[in-house]
Amino acid sequence: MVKKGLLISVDDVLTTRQLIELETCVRCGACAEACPVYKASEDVLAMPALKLKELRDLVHRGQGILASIFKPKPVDVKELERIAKEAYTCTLCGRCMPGCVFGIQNRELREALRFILYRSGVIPDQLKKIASYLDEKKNPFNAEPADRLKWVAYSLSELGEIPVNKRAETVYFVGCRTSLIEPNHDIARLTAFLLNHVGEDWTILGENEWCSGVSWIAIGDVEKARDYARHNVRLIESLGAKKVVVTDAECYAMLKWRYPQLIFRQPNFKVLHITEYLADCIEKGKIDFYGDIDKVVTYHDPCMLSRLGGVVEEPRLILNTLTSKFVEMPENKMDTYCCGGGGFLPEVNRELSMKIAKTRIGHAKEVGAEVIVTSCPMCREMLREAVKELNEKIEVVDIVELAVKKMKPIERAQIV
Amino acid sequence: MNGLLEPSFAITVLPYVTVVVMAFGFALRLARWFIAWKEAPVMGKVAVTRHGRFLGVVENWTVNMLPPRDLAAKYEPGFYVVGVTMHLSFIALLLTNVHEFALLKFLLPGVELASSPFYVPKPWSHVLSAVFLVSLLLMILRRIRHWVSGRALRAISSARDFVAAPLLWLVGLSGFLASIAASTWPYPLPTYIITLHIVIVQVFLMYVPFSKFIHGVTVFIVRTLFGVRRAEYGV
Ligand code: SF4
Ligand code: SF4
Repeated sequence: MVKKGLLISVDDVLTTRQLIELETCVRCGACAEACPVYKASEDVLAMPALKLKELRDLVHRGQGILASIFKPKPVDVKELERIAKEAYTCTLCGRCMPGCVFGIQNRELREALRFILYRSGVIPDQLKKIASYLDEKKNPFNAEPADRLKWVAYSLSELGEIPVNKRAETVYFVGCRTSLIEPNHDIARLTAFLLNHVGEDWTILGENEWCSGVSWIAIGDVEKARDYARHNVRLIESLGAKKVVVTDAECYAMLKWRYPQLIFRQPNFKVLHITEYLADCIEKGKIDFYGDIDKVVTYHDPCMLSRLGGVVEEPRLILNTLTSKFVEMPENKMDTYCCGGGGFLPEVNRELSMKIAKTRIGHAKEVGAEVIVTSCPMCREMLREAVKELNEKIEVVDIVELAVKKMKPIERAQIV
Repeated sequence: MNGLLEPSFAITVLPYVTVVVMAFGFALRLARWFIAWKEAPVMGKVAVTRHGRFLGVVENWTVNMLPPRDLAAKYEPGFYVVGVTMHLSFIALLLTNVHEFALLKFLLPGVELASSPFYVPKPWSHVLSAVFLVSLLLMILRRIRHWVSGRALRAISSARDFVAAPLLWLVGLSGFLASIAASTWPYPLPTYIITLHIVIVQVFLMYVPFSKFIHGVTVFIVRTLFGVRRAEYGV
């Protein structure tokens, strides 16, 4: 049977604040200039305000004045598919929030639109596949849960003990991208090394760790994100941990800001990004570094860590301690430019994602950077790939790599 | 200006209709927002905050609205300047003319309304009107240009956008003409112009709760809450 139209319910998706925001947009289009996807594609499909308009139209059809007097109007499936194309052409970078003349929190409206579309079953096929991986294996990469420990297995001797699922003061939440994508394993290994070096009482969750839920939010299932949040919080709290250290910026924003919203309470632990942890170690004199770095170094703020996470000063403190040649890129801190990797845009439109990443490399070149430091495995992957495609000589490293390899009394060879 | 008016529909019946329609419109909006409030939202509140929320709000209403912090100013400086000029001149005109609001005068007969403390004397009020009219016209032309050339704004514009801004422009134009006519044009022209202005203003007021003009009210909530969020996250 062909589905003709669907009744869209928005009651349980949008908050009062969001309904007010929908009515506040004056369709001036200013946010488009701030949106990296729109800038890279010049396609009106990608305009932040267009997605907002679609959401408002859905709301009006479902619960507008006319819908209340008569009855809600069904929405054609074809139309929903068109809206889905718009909604998923977005990295969820949140740049349209400071880009809006009124400060409409556009990013969450984007998420809300995805929730509605997911419920209507019209999400892109690539994301349906990822959703099934998540359901089955609790990660978006179709990897076996046991694979989360691969990085531990081959690095034990170099790093000292890596406790798994033990009671400890601190949990290192490794994240799917770091533990399951091999080129990112060094981030986990170096973090483990750091934690052992400063004498932290720590553990990892191993195979029991689930995706932080960020993938579900990006796909559009807030209830699954809530389940995953509850699972991870329960697990961490059962180990008695008071602190969680995170190296993935997306996981950080989830654990720090979304978990309290999703589980309707503050978890019993505090969440630190590795940059906050490192900065604290430097300030307390727990670690020290060798010499200077003889290259021009710049820093790419991951959106989820800066604009959507609030961590902007700590990475700069670390870099200014490590090098005298640190330069700021244009579009930094709160206004940081997306690497193109968020919101599953690479899965939906790889070419567009790479175009955004290449723009970011252009920003680094503008300031003569030879090394781009970032603090998220996703950003590192995207920027590395862009450098490769552009045939540039710029190095892209994670801040943990740069810091730990320069730590006293470590010989480079010991841990690389 | 008031002495030039004769009792007519515009000043006897229309103000009551305006108030009723406005009240109905605002009530509908509020009902929708508050019903949504009762439905359990999918997200709870953020309990921790990095910076003081109050300071975050102040910052978001001051420095964050200025270049280089404001991204709109950075990317479309022309639009930013015109937009800010239009809004500031509109607010100034509103304040300077508040003592002359036909609606208040006729709804509260016998009550002596004080002159606006923000009163701007002629010819400066005329300059203000001209600035408002030119800046709003530029914003209307920007939308038309996008529409005609099939550029970005076309995708998000609706027919209502081509009603709202021109209506506001007519409010400004008729007010401008009325203030000139009152002192210089021969009777009965000023009466017609002033009556026309009063009618247009009331149509505008009735339209506010049903249109994008609602942003004049909601912006205070939206920008304030974004300031709160920025303070919570520490950005
Ligand atoms: S979240 Fe980022 S990519 Fe998505 S619409 Fe906003 S600015 Fe564009
Ligand atoms: S800048 Fe804000 S008000 Fe203007 S179109 Fe974008 S979301 Fe709407």
